[in-house]
Amino acid sequence: MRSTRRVAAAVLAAAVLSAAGAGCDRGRPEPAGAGSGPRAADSAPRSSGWVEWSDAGAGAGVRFRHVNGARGRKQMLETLGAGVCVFDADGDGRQDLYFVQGGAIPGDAAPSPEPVAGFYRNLGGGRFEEAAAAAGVAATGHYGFGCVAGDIDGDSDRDLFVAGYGSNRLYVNLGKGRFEERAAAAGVTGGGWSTSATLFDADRDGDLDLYVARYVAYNLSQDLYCGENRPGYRTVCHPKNFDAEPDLFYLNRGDGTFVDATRSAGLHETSGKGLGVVAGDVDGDGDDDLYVANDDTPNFLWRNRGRGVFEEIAQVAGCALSEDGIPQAGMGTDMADYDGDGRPDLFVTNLAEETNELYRNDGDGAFSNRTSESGLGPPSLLMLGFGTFFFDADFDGDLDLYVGNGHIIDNIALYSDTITFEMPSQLYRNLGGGRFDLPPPSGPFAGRYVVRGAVPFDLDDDGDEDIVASQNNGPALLWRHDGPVAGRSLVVMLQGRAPNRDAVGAVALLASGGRRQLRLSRTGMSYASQGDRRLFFAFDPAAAPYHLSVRWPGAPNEEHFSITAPGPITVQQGTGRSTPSR
Amino acid sequence: MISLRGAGRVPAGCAALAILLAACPSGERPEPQGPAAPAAAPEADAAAREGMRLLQSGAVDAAEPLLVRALAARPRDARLLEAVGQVYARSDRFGQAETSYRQALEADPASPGARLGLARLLGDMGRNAEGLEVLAPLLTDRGDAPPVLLQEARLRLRAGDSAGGLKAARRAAEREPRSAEAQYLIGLGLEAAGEREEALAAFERAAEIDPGHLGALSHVRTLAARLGRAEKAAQAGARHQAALDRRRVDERVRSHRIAGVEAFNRQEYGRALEEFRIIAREDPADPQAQLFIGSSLLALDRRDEARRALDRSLQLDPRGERAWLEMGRLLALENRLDEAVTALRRAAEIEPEFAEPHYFLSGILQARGDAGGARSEMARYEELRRRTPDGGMQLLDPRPGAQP
Repeated sequence: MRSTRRVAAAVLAAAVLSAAGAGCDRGRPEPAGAGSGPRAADSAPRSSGWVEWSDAGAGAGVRFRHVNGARGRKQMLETLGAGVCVFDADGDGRQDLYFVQGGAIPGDAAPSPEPVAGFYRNLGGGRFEEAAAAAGVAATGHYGFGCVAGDIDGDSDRDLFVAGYGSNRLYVNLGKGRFEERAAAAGVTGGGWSTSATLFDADRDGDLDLYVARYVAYNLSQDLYCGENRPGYRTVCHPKNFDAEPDLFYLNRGDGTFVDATRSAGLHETSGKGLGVVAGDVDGDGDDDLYVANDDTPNFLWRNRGRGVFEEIAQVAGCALSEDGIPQAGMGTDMADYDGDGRPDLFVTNLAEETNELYRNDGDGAFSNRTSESGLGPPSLLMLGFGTFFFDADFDGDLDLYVGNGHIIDNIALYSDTITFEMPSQLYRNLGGGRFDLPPPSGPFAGRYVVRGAVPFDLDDDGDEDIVASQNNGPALLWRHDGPVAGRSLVVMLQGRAPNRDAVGAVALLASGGRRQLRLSRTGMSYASQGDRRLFFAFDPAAAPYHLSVRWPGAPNEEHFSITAPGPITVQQGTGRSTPSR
Repeated sequence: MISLRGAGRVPAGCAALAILLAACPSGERPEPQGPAAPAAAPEADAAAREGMRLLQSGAVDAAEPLLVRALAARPRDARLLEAVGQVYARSDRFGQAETSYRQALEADPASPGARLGLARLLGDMGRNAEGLEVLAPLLTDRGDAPPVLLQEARLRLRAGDSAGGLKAARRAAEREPRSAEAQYLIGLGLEAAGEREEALAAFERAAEIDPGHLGALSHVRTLAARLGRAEKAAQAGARHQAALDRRRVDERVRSHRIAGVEAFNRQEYGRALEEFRIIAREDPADPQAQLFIGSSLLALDRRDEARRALDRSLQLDPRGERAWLEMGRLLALENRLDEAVTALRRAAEIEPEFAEPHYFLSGILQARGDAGGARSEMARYEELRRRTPDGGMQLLDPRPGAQP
């Protein structure tokens, strides 16, 4: 419906032309400074007084700073930033934080001190303590992008997988939050350029399998020049200049070692430039499917046909492309039921001059593109989105939406007078009826950042979801939800049976009257990240009692009646009344 | 892309103006200068002419300095302001584009091109409601013009007003039944309303009119699958993939296409030929590349080679009106006048709004002593020229979904 002009596709394409000798006399535009950004798009501020937020980073003790190793050569590695993972590393019941680090571009001399990954133990009360080196997860010398955590070996603690350029790392938890790198022994070293990953039980044998999204075949020694051929105008190259690198799928042998089952599982596909991945049961058949946000190429929806054999159906299902049938620059993605119909929908962040896309799950194996109708399209046109997730920010029972933005071209101001490098994050409010709006930004949402990985995370255990994000070549962001919460949330911790004690793949449905809230228990999500594994529901005491239904992975549904009070609860598999599962 | 059917048309940014003007009654075309414009220096006039020509041919970077120079001499010239707005809009300087379009409308509030350009620009920035406000006077004054209706439909659909968008798209289709874009927008409106069968039919009509329409083909595949028509879905999927592949090739060769067109328009035909041959090597199935090779060879008076290239272009796209035109010119140069007339009439039949065939037909008929027929063809040529400005060799806008 709209033109396909793209900043990276069109600006860079034109720029490459110039480099090739076509020449360009374009005047240098005025740089777009803070406050000179785009005017409001449709569905921009129409109300105020919504959820309040504050910056909690420094006070919480989180001082991680991502380093991208840029030295002016505009290597693609410099642009994608990295993810952040929330998981209980030391088994103390509190959610810890892991920030993936980039560092020196491979082959370059490392700066001093050498950048290390950020691992922060949660001390409780919203305070954290840096412990990467002590825990053995500093990951020096590894240019990382994404992470995912889960119990891969069934020993009741969570292990950590870090996707990176050249190789991956697998930090096996030795207990009490001390780790040892064993990627090679586990068979998941991979290679090429891995970006994101998710752990999920593909074949319903109880253990967690691993899907790794990979980006493009990128050779650092290939010094391709992109951008206009004049000083200061060099830019990072568009991914269209490079071939896609196929994603990888590792089947867990049951002991924490893996076998590459990409082909046997039907997951070998050479056309995707993968950046974001999320797993969940989109077709309601009881096993987890996979959705992959691909850059410059159609997104994938891998339908699990059962027993971990997949088929790619995104184009037929209607969730591969823009509404106009064009592959977009998929970056981050999330899967959640935004319209309360009990089916998980899909959302993908894209490049500036593209809309982010909302695909509604229609329940018949197909999705309909609801980007325009939802109001999520127009405000995204001048933004470049990466990390994204649905969560109920105002505890009204429907899922709102966070989008972290930031351009990939650090000198974009030379090419555009409207699109900026640093961008505000956006928090869309779900109005019901499938519509969203964008309330006026306040607190940290009024600032501009270069967000990459971003996830929800209750950092102070007060029952609401705060936000943690990683910036490209910048400080981590930790934003505290300051809105009124007391008595308005039910926080559910699912405990499954071994070896999947975190109940990855479980689906929880909280109902009262005719209102239903669906939440998925999963690992990898957003962009290269993993969020809080606790499930957050809105809880209105006037609507109690609530009825919680949990579909445990590969096991019967269980019903829990008469939940009358808000607050945190733990639901153990086998303690509810069993009902037939599909 | 990329159907050669569009090869003779101006690129998307210019086309809106051209088509809209085509809907203007004779004599209503806006004056080229705004009321406050100073007397134009000859150099400014020359820069403006050349800048406009380059802009229409798709050479945006080359057009910009000329247009800016001309504008400095005539800062209230609405057409120049609109052209500069187009340059900025097509090079991601949306802020400057908006300013230029608004200045054009200040200088000439009746400028349909500036108004349509601004409405489109606002839509591209997500400001659909503002775009509709800007478009409102055109909807009042020229509400039957398909470009205006199509823009209204796009803005309403993007804003989530599927009923309003559907209504506008249907009115556009009534005026222009062979508009693929109108059929596509009808499909979007119907699909949003849950009318899947009707939506599928509309998308199929769009894909029939424009066989490479990515949006239409994508929706045909999805809807056909949902409606249980697996074979139709598979066919649409294959066509969509072919169109996507073609688009990727277009992106790869775009620099050569621009360089070739610019060289051709500078009358550097040898250089142009080299560029077009690079495209043809990359994409032997590109009819436009073969056409441009033929045109370059014709300009170099290498007629046998030109004929082979034009034959190849017409094999690839039998409805390539530009190729038929060039074939007619070639045959006329060889004094094969009957065949030339046949080729030129075929070009005019394929694209009734295409002016050039009538010019050459007039010349041939004059040479044959048919003064009346020659006058008639020349009158037709003049009429069409008034509607659609020409710009020498022109680039296709290879962006799928680019607005007409």
